[in-house]
Amino acid sequence: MTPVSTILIGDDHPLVQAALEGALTQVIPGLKVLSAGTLDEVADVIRAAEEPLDLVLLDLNMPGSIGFTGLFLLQAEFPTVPVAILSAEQDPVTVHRALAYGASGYIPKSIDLRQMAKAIVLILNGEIWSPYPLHLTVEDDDTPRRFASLTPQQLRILSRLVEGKLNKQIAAELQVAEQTIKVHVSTILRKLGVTTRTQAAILAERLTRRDYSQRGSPPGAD
Amino acid sequence: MSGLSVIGFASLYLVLLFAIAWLGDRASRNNPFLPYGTARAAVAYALTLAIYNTSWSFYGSVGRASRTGIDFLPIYLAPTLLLIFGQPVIRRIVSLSQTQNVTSIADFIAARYGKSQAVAAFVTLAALFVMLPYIALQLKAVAASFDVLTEAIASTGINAPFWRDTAFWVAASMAIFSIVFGVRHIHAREHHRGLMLAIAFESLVKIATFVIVAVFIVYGIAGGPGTLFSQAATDARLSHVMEVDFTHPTWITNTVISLFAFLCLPHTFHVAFVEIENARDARPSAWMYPLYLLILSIFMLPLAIAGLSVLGPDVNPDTYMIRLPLAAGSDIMAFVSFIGGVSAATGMIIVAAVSLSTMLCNDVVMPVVLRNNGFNTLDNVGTLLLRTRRIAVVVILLLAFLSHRLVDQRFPLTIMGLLSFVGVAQFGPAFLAGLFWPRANKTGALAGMAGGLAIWFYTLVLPSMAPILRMPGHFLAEGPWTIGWLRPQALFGLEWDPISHATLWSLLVNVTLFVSISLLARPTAAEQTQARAFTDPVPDAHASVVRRRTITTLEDLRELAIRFAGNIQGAEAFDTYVSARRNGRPPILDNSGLADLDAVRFVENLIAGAIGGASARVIMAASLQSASLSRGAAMAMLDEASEALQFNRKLLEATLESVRQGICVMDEDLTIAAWNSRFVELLALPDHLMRIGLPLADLIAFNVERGEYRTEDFPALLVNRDIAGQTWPYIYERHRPDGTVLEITFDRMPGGGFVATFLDVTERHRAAQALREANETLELRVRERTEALELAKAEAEQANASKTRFLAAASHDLLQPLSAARLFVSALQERLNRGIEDAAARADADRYTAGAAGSLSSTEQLLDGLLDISALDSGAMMPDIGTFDMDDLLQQLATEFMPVAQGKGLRLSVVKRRIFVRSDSRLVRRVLQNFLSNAIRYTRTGRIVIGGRTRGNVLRVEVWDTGIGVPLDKQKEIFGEFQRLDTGQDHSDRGLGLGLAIVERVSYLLGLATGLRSQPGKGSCFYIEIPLAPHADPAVRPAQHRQERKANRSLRILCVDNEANVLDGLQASFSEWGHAVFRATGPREALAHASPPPDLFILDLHLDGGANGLDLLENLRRVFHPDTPALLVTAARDEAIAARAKSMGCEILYKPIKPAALRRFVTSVAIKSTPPSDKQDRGPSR
Repeated sequence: MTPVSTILIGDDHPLVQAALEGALTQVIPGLKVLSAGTLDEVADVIRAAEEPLDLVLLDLNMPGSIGFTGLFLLQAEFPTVPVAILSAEQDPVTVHRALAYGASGYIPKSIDLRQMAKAIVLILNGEIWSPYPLHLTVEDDDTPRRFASLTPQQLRILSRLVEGKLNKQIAAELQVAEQTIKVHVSTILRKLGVTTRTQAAILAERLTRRDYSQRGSPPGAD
Repeated sequence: MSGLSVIGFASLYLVLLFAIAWLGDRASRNNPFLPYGTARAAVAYALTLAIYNTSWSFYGSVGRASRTGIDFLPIYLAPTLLLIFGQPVIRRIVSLSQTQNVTSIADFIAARYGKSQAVAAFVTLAALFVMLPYIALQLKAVAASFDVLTEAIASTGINAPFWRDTAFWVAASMAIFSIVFGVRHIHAREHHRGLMLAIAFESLVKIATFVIVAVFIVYGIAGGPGTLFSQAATDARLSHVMEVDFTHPTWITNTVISLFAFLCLPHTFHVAFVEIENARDARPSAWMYPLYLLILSIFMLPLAIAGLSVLGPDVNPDTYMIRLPLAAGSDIMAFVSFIGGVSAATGMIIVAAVSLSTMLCNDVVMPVVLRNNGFNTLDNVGTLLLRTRRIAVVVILLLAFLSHRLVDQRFPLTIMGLLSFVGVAQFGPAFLAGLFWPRANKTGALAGMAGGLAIWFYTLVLPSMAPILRMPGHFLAEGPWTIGWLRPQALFGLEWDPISHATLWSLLVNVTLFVSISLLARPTAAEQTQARAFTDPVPDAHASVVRRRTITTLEDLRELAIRFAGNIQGAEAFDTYVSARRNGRPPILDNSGLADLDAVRFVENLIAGAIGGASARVIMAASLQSASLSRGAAMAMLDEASEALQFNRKLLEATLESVRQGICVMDEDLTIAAWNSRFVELLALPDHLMRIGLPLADLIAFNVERGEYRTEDFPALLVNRDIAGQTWPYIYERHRPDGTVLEITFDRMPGGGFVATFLDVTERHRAAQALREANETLELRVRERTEALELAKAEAEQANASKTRFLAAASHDLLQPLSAARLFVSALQERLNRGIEDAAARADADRYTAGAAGSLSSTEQLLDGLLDISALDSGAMMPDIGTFDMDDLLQQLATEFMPVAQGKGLRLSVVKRRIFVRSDSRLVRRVLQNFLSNAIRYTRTGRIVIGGRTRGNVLRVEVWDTGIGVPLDKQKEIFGEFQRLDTGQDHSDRGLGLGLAIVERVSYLLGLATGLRSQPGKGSCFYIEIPLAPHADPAVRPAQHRQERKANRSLRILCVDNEANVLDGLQASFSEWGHAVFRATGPREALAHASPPPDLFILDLHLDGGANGLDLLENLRRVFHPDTPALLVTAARDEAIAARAKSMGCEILYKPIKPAALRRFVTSVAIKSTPPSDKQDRGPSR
């Protein structure tokens, strides 16, 4: 029997939010479900909670969070709040990456309710839940560390960088001076161990999971 | 006077003359004493003409005057008339002498008559014969005077032995002086300038002495001319002197023969026509010499009268000039007179001797020598000539002396002279007619001269030699064989004085024969040429200047033949030719050794064999343009040569005209030499512009003026190019103003000069231009098309990308509600389960929700499939090739499908095999998922097996099932879209039939082979072949690839808490998660875990000994790494503590610790502290 837990569902689809809330509360006794539609909202909710949240279920693509940036952002701001990915996608590479980047678990939306409940319970107990055994060999480098070393602001900048936005645009969106952006960008480049924005973007594709690029240029192969 | 003194003084005088001659010769070389063309020279020339006045004039004319009065005058009248009125003739003769290179009278006449050697020889011998009396006359005069002067005993005469004959010594001394004066060396062109100077001096002396003596006599002795004339009028003995009978034949005959004589006498001809260099010198003589003659003549009658009156009729009047002064008692005057006479005689003898010796040598002796010596080169022609001439001189004088002895001593000097004159006059007709009558020819001339001389001889010489020859006395009186009309001195009953008689008959016969035979005989070509040259009133324009070295001899021709036809062939051919001709082959070879036209033609032909006909002609013409072959003949040859050249030129022109290109030929100096009409056409030149010799620069200038060239054309023009450095041929193109394009080729000709060819390449250019334009437009069109295409492509891609984006978005948005719905249904299911008491109702509810869930699930799958197909079709899917372990994938799939399979009662098994393959794991997974779901769907009972087996370098992953199988005819079909196998069963989740279509596309995209083997009713096997990774066998893989990360790095965690059970709990969790734990309950213990330094501090707030966890943290960070992460675990919720912790970079977790939170924190720490892998440098390059 687990104590009363509060989980926060970060998904921009209200139906999904409602469904999850309804479903999970049915199968997990004593579960309290909050929801937020954007990453900022998620952060706000976490901050505002009287008691620390037990778990955040984060979708991979929602406003303010492209791919794993949300994961890193939340990790940077709230190091003690578990974040698990709840996503429709479920290819092993993504799953593995999520876990490598420090997700507490990866729950595909396609699994049935009972399984989902089980997964959540396990995660709450400190397990790392994954739909697959984690043996798939993926790239073996320190990208997680690099991404993890970025500050939240830098993460935000990086995710916009990957979208192809210019410094001016980013500065406008984040409402800071362009010069500040420039400084951040150089820091980002340094931390990521790259020399150009393009390289950073390529690297950050892993972060953002931009597998379907506009012009079809492939992400890095082995 | 004593003979010795006379001799001595006379000799002195002669030495003086010689000195003058010698000086004159020496001076003439550099600084002529008498420069030609000056007044001095003209005076000198006129004086030399006075050589005509010999001792005959000095002594004899007076004698004549005393006998017959004034009829001495014709002798002087003739030259006067000739010089005053006959200047044109004189000039003509002068110019002819110069152009024909005449050296003597014989030369002249021979030259006129075809350069005939025969004529020359004849004239020479005739002249010699004819001159003998004249020279003898001089000897006689001088001897007589000497005798008178020295009052020598009259032991002279023909009866005295010759050494006692004064004349002999005179002859001898004359010979010596002649040789000394005139035959010292061979003079070029027979100019004896020194001698002429001496003659001029002598003439001066002559007239001076004569005048002096005459004056002395007339005024000194006789008391003046008036006295004399009155005496003559009164004295009967003298009166005949004053008688004048102009009807006497002598007037005409003497004038005629004197005229001829003046022209034809060797010595007068020589000084008048041979010695002259500058024709201008002759002009003053027209009045000077007549004046001279006048001066002489004036005194004749007075002297005659004086002599007659003073000395009486018995004294030889020829000696008046000596005797009168002697009678007057003046030895000196007598001596002066003697000197005058000697001077007169000497001058004439020397020049006559020289001239005759030259003639003899050149025209008689040399041809004989040449003929006899064949063609051997004479070694020292000069010496031979000299020797010959000297001998000739001696011979002449000897002969003269002999004739003096032979001839009747009683003959007066004048008669002797006139005798000579008549003989010389035989040359006259041939001489003069030759100048005016072209028809006169050699044969006629010879005939005339011979005939005239014969008559002369018969009528004059014979009678005068009668005493010696001991002719029958009646011969003269009655004629030969008593034929009266053949009387030598009265032919045909004409009884004139012998001279006139002889003159008439001889000249008559001469002229008759001359004219008739000239008319009858055919002149040779040479004669004709010469006739033309002599009779042509227009003097040869190039008369005075250059007289070339002549080829006159066969030897010269032979040399020419050798030079051009080779040493062996040329000589041989020529010798053969010459010997053939000498042996009689016509035309007969002239024995003179001089070349005639036939020989010239032969050699020309010979040479032509070597250097071509035209060139041979030109060479021969140039070489022969000389005396031998006159200018006319040379011109004729040149005409022929030029005709040949003309022909060649016409041929060249015709060739040039037939060519398509414009051609312009220039010589080395860039003047136009030839061109064709095409050239003129191409350049649109006006007709008048082109001419031979037009400088190229002029043509260029013309073109520049009419704007023919553009600026860029100028460097290309030949005139502007550095010819020395130019490479040939040199081609360039020029655009003409009218639009035509010319291709111009310049080339050098091997012989020098340049040729330019012009070709109209406008068409070629236009074609090239059109091609270029087409190409450009083509390129433009291609560019435009490409741009359009690219635009279309971009649009299409953009549309495609939009579609993909749409699909991606759509997938997200489409699937969300579905999963939400599913969750709702699940939730409902749960709720219902709890809420419905009734089992049956619950079962119903279950059924309904299951149905709903199932429907939703199907829909989800279908949508998924559609989206995948669409993504695959649009090409938006990019394979992400990587190396992965197939076993992991299979395990995952097994896990995924196990429930479903089990739900259907099927057994699903996986063949375990660790093997690494290389492909896109996601897409392969998709394929295998589809295989598996199909297998499950279409298998009612039995089992499904999935496994891989290696085949070569691929892994064939097979999914076996024991399902319904696929009929053969459908095996291809089912891979198409929306193809579902009709199983005849009603299955709610039959799928959309897209699974295999997706497989089809994936296999195409990845290039992997897929296939199916099936037996209906038995089962199927779907497979896909995946390439093995380079190191497929896990055992062989490099170690680093085996680096697996189950979790992140293992941390060393220092836990400090005063409660042991907390520590236990922490330790248990951390261990399970793979970290190393160090426990401490208090600071001391904590600090004891010095090494290795911990990666993380987990600290309780309240520690033993009242220690504060945060304080401890500070210490720990000082001891260990100051940046070590830390987590404060406490139950107390204190804002101040929270703030302090935050400021120290320490997180807080409140007790009771939630495992997930703890794990989360530790994981993130682990991530951040992961040391850079050795693959760091690979990181960003992906």
